[in-house]
Amino acid sequence: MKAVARLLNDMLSTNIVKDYAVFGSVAQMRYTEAVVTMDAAVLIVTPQQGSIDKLSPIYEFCSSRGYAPEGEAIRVGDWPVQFIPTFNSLAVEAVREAETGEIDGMPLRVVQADFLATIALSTGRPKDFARILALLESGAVSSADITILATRFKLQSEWIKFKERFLDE
Amino acid sequence: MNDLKKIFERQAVWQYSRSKLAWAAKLRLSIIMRESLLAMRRSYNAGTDNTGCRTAENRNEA
Repeated sequence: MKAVARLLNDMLSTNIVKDYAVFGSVAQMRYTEAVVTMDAAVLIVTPQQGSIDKLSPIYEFCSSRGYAPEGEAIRVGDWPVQFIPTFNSLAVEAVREAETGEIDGMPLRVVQADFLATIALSTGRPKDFARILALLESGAVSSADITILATRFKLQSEWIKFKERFLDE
Repeated sequence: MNDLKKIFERQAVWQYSRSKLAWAAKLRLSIIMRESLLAMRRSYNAGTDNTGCRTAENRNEA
């Protein structure tokens, strides 16, 4: 993951991306036990937000560093990395409010636990629900934290359903 | 029953301690877990499980 962190920071310093933050399982593992995941997902804000093909400069940059595409991802050492342009206001704010963690001395921007859980709530797959439960159990996020973001991003009904189904509230 | 409760309590403490590992250490663990899973899938698809035994599907074919 150190190589991924170095690549992302280089993208940031050369303005290939305006900002980035890892999310999904890689971000989750900052707060919970290790989990199995096939790839690392990275939210990116690109300088050309209006452009249809936001990923071309990313792929070109990776290629110049010797990292090749592998399916929907770019293989960086042990990690296939998926670059996902921010897709809604929740994702935009998740990147803006991201924290800087550390991987073997290398800074790596990471989505905070409350945004991670709320993005998972918005996606709504079984593995996302498992992520919310793991984050709650770890104490990294509280039900109240998620309520605040779910309200702001109009996910109240999803959150109520989740609580009824999994939290017996 | 008390013994069982103690076992679960110890397990909970152990699981909690694993979540307190460094982020980088957990990511390295995740890679090992992924490789193990993929190896098991390959074994299964080749007609054996990870113990080298034939799978149920494979046995049915035999």
